[in-house]
Amino acid sequence: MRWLNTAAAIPRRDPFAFAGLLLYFVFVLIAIFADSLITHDPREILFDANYDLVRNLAPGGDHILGTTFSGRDIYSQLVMGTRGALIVGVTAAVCVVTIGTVLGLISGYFGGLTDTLLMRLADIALGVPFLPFVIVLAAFLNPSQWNVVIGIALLLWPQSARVIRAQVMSLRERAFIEAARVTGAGPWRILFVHIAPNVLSLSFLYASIAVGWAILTEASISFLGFGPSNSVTWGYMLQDAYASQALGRGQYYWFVPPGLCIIAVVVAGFLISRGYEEILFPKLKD
Amino acid sequence: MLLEVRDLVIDYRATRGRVRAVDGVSFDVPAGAVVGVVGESGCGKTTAVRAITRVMPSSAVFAAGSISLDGVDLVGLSEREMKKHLWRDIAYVPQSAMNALDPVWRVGKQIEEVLVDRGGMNRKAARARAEDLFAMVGLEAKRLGDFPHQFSGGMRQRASIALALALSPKLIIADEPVTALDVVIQRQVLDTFADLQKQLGLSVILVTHDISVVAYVCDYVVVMYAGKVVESGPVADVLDTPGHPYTMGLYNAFPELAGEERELSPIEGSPPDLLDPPKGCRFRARCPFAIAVCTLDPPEHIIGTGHVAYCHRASEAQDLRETAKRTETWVGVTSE
Repeated sequence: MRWLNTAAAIPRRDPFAFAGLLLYFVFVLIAIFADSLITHDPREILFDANYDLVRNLAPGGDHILGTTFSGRDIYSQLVMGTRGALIVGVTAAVCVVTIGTVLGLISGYFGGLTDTLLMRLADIALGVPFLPFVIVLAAFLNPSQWNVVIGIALLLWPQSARVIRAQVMSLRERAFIEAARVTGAGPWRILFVHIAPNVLSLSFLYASIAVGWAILTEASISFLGFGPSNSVTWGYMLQDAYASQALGRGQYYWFVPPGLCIIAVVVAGFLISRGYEEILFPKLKD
Repeated sequence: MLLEVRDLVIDYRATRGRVRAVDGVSFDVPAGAVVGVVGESGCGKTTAVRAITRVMPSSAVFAAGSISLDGVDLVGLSEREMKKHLWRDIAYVPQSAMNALDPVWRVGKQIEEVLVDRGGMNRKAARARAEDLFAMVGLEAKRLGDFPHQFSGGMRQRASIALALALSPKLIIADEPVTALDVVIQRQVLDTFADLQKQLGLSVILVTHDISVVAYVCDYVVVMYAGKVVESGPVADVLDTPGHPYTMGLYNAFPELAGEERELSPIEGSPPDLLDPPKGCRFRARCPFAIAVCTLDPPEHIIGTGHVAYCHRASEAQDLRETAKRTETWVGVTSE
């Protein structure tokens, strides 16, 4: 049961990373049980007994966080938004890291022309401005949260690919890789059996960073009005609040919660990656 | 003869031109014998034996020579055919074998992987074989479940040897297998290795810069200097009656692993630049016995059965040996 002790030591050793993990855990739970947590359909326009629109209600009573200008339940929107945010965040992170890791491995191990081509491609991807690219993408394809995932996957892979490539170039010269070559193992076997597990920790680090980026981008896109119209996300809530001049009416209960949620998820991701980085590269601490 | 290497020439591509790291090296490995390849860093000993496996840095060029293992010409084989021989016929204990194990896999898993992937065994048989191998090299079977970082240096070395023995290869190439260990552990690992070699009748090429290791475990020795063989023959003959001044110097420069105390004297200077090697004998500039004729290529001089030295003054070797034993002989040679 050594791992239990190790796990128990985490909050004491790195309370920030633990807080991040805890935050994530809460968000994941909310996302999973969103259907039972909501009090109303987040997209339904609500009316009271007199068939009047229940718009701009203050928090309290039937509506925990009040209602929007068009009469929707803010609390339910917030809960459903968690699911959307995490789906986008996790899929984007998986895509980014898969592309980045595989290309980084190939680039670093084979070198030569392959390396040059892939790394120049990475330079180009890094040079493309992020938000405009995703907006153009959304304009060409139908607006959907997958555009954000695609955009993030296409533009964010170079960062992890570069770091992994550098790591592979160092691993490639190590004695155990040489030993594997002499045993007669082929290049793909060496790459995926011996090198890949050694860089996996870096992949996870970049995944944890990518989650926050993806959620932030998705929110930005939705806030600018290029998001999907058929789903509720935190960015959509902010956009709705902005367009309905919620700030002017002082409806802080409408736009502050989704803003705080975005901050919380991104900060949680940052805290986890920071704690993880400290385990991976203890020398950076000083 | 199990392995015959003839006139091997290996170049490295460098920015300033081609470096001839191995220049016409020939040697034999009889079945069941341990052949030591000895020389200082950069003399081409590792390059020469790595060429046998064909796993070389990308800058290395196989320029000429023939290598035949048990009658099979290895140079003529395709990449695919060569792979079939790797590890099944030729196993390798790499330089810094301490780091030759993948840090993310359990040691047992790595041995089993070779047995299954290269030896075609099933998982269960591989597991049993891995346990046998560990027992052979003096490690407990339960340590198969450990990661390499949980092993000490000597244990990792033993595990590397177990890995090399896995598929009962015809030839084992061990490149500086004990260099990173302290002398006590060196002795233990060498003893294990020597016992296994006798028990299993292994044929081994042992690369080392330490002539006392050669004296301790080898049957034959090949002394290399600046990419060329300067002397070779049975260990007892070469070490007792060295015919080349470099061998004499090398012997003086190392303490013996077992044996009497004696004064050590280093060979001053450093090996020549292989981008532009000197004409004639390459050891000339550091040799206390160099004369005018040494600017010509040294002739082959047969000293005894299978014992050759490439030196102009090999016929006077007896007198030179006496002089070489005195420490002052080796002082201030390179100043000229």
